[in-house]
Amino acid sequence: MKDNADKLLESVVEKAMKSAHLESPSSDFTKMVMAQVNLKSTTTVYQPLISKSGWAIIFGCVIAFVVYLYMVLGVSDSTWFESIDFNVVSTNDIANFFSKLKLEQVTSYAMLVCGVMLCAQIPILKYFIDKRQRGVT
Amino acid sequence: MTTKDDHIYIDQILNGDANAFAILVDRYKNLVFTLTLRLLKNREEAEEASQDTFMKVYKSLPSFKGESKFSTYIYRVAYNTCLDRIKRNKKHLNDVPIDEFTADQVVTIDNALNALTESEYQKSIKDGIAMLPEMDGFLLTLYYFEDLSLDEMATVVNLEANTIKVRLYRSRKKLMTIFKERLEPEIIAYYEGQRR
Repeated sequence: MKDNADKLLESVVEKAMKSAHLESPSSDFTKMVMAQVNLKSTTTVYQPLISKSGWAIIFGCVIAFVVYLYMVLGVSDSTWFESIDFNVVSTNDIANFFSKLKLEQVTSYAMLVCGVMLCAQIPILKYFIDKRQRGVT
Repeated sequence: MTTKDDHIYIDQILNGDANAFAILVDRYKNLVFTLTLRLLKNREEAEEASQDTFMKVYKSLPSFKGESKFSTYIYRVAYNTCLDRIKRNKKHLNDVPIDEFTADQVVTIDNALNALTESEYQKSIKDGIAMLPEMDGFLLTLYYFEDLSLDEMATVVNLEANTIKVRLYRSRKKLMTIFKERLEPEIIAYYEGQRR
């Protein structure tokens, strides 16, 4: 009895819905959309701030400057590079502090696992964000 | 609605022929507009949302991989665009009680509707659909005009297919409740009397 009522309900609603016809937007709807599309096509042409020829000129200038320095000043005369004390990298307080630090084996394993987990999250997060963006657009 | 050659136009657009998009707009504009109108209940707003929908679809065409039908994809974009607007405007979602109907009651309402003149009938149906809550009007339109499967509809509105089935069932009942309330009680009584 209830099935019969449901079937009748379905057929009455189907008849009603199909007789309602689809609504139409304004007559110039397509024209308006296409105007926006054409506007977008012309405005979104990618223009790099520095063109390829610009990069070539910059690169040429840098090379010319280096060659100029080499020719005019000479490399062998400059001793400033040798005067830098690189010991500061290995003998500073921070490096000494870490040299005294000894990790338990368990701690280093835990840190390794944390690192792996972090790396594993990246593709998962990327997948979810991509999916959500696809859903939004 | 044919969807077989949608990909031909999509390829043309991606190859630089932006005007090919006009064919897709013409093909889907009526259904997209009807769906947005069912959700937003306002013609101007629905037209704006439809334009937004087509612009979003156009911008995202390069990333459309063809995993689902292009039509399903457009309806999903339309649905999400309307949801954003509804959230932004904090619109009140109206609701209609879900009455139970016996077969006799359904036949009575159908007879009463059929007794109206063509223009009255059209108006009653149109007004009745417009009075449905947003989601119900949207789902019924998608179901009866696009012949989408429950799974495809589930993709559009991001719900389970079973949930869609239940919601469609409730939507039909809500529509009948609206028809019953809108038809003159005398007309209903007359057709009830005739059935006895």
